[in-house]
Amino acid sequence: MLKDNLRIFFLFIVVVFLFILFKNGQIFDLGFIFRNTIYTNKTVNSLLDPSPELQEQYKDLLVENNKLKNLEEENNQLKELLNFKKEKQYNLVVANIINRDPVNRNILIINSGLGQNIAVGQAVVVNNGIIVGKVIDTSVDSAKVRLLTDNFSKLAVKVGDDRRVSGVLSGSLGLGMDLSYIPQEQEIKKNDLVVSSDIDDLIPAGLVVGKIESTNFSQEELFKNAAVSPLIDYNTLGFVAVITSL
Amino acid sequence: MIKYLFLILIYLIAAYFFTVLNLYNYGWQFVQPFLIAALLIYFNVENNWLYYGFALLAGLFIDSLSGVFGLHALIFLFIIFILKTLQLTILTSKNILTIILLTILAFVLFWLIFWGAHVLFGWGIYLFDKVILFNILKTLPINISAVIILHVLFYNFWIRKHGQRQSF
Repeated sequence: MLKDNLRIFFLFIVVVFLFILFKNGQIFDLGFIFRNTIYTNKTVNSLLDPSPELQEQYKDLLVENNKLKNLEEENNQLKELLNFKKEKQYNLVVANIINRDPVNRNILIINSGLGQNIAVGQAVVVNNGIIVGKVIDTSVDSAKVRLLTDNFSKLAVKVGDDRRVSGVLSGSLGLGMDLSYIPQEQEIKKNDLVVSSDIDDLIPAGLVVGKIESTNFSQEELFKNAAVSPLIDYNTLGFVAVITSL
Repeated sequence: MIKYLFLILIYLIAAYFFTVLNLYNYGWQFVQPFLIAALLIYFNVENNWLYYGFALLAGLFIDSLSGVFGLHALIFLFIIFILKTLQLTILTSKNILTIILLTILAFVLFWLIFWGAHVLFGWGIYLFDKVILFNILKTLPINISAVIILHVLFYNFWIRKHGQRQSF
């Protein structure tokens, strides 16, 4: 009985191998019969060319997905702002950016103003307290914010971990920031953190501005210069928070 | 003659369930109607040629739609061979406990061989990640109980009623 079993088993194994050989040798393909019976051309076409309803659904889902991603990002930023508020105990007014100045893209218009205690000179922050600009004009329900990258922007800052090095940060062509008036004897290096100083009454000290990108000095000049790169992309800002009181 | 018609009917039912479950997806594609059918035929038919032939055709049906032609057929034949050898040597009894043991062994062997093929040759017919393993474990009791219940039903309601032995 065992021998019979073994014999039949090997016989069928040989049959399977013959099938495999035939199929791979393109003599015949058994699967062709099954595939054509079960999955007709109509089925295949319907899979390759989905119905208009499905395409419509796909578009709707794509829009919804995009919306949800934006909401997630906004939610994360708001959470960070909330943490920042709790940590520092500042009064923050969160405002949406409703427009940018058509002539100068570094001027933002936000949807909060005097009604929300916003005043000229107050600091505008995002995320965990990254300062992005200052309020320069207010009306009852809106305000103008000048980004730090604007040519006319000026901010007193400090550099490095010990924050002994002081300088003045100004915008550079709306693209980056320049740090000037750093005494020659002071040491600064690439990737040093730049934070706001305590000179301005309306701007709290220690708000992160950016990082040193490169330094530039010569023997003939009294002060050193450095290029500062912002930590976030100012072009993708959706909303900001204004520190109304310290 | 009627027994061949009966075999063809079982084959068609298995093919129907195989197609439906694969189209339905959601883990139900891991239910193996063809292996269930092949085991039922094996347990209830004494003619070697019939159950080996059925296993061969059942395997070829799946192979014709899968990436590695011949693999399912070889595995089905191997499982039947192992079961038959066991029944001729150790598990000679034909009681329900033996049937349960052999069925469990068959399905465990089935997935072990596929896992082996995946690890050794990289044949990704089934990718054994966590989700798939969960689905396999979920459908394993369904597969096993399907064989046992159908076998018990057939044995009690058909064979006994018609006063036949447990064979065609």
